[in-house]
Amino acid sequence: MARRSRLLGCLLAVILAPVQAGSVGLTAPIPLLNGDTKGKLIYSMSGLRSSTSDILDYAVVVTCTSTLPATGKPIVLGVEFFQAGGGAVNSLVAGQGVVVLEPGRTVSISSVDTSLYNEDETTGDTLSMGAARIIATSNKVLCAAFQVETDNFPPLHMWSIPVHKKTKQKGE
Amino acid sequence: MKLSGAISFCAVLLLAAPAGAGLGDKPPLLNGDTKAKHVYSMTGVLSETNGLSTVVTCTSLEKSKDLLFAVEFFGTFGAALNDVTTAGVVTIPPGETRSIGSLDTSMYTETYAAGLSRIFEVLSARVLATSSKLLCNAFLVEEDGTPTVGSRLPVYKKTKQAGD
Repeated sequence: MARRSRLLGCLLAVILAPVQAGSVGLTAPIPLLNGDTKGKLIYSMSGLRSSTSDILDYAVVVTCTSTLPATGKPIVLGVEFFQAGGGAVNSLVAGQGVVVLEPGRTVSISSVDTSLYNEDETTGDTLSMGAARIIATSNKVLCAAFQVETDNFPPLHMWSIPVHKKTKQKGE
Repeated sequence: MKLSGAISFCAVLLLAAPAGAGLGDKPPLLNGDTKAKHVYSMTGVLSETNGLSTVVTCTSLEKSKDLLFAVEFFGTFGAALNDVTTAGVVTIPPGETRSIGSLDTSMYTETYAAGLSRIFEVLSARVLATSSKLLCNAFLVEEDGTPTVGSRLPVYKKTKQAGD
C-alpha cells in the first residue's frame, strides 16, 4: 500500500514538474520590450482566434490610447499572443508586436492583417485558440480588443473581447 | 519694429507649445463658455464612410435640470477632430436619451453627427458633460444601409480602465 502511494507520488511529481519549473502563457515572466525595455503586465485576454486559411478568417485587433497629457513621456507597449498550450507565438524581445505611443496617440496591433484596420503593427500569428497580454512601460493606457473577420470591408462579423486588468477577472 | 519683434516672439511661443494630446488634455469649454467634466473615454473608435461609424448614446440621470454633453473625437496622433467649443453640444433633459455619431448612420437618428470620415485610422474619444449623472454606451455600427455588423465599444470612466 505504502509502495503504491510512493509510486503515485513519483508519477505526480513527474507530471507536475514541468509546470512548476517554468510557468507559461499569461503567468510567464515578463519579457523585455525590444530586448531592452522593462514593462509591466497591464491587461489580459482569453478566447482568441486568429486564422488565415479558413472559409472565414479572423484576426485579434488590440487598440490602445495613451492617456498621458502632452507633456508626458512616450509609452512602449507590446501585445504578446499565446497558443492554447501557453507558448508565446511572437517575440516582444525581438520587437514583434511592440509600438511606441506618444501622449494621446492611438495605435492598433493585430495578429494578422485585416481589411478594416490599417494596423500599426501586425505580428502575423495564427491561433487555433489562445490568449494575449498587454505589456507596457506605463499603465496610463486604455485598451480595447476585437475579434474581426479579416477579408471584407466592412467585416462580416466583429465583436468586442473582454479585457481584464492584469490577470484579474471581475466576473459578470 | 518692437511690435513686430513681439509678434514674432509670441508666434514662436505659440508654435512651441505642445500639440493637443487627446484624452489627457484639459476639457475645453462646451460652446465656448460652459465648463465640462471628462466623464468617459473610449479607444478603438472608427469613423469610416461606407465602413464603420461610432455612435455614443447617453441617458441623463438628472432629476430636474438639463445637462449638456458632447463627444470629442481625437485622431490617431491625439489631435482633436471636432471643436466642441463651437459645435456638437447636445442638451439632454432629465431622464431623456440622446446620441452623437462620428458619422450619420442609417440605423440611428443621431441627435448630432460630427461628419468625420477617417478611413483606416483608429481614433479615441471622450464624453464631456456638465454633470456626471449620465449613463453612456458606445457602438461601432455600419454607416451605410441596414447594419449587418457592429460591436460594443468599451466605455471607460474618465481615463481609468477597471477591466472586464
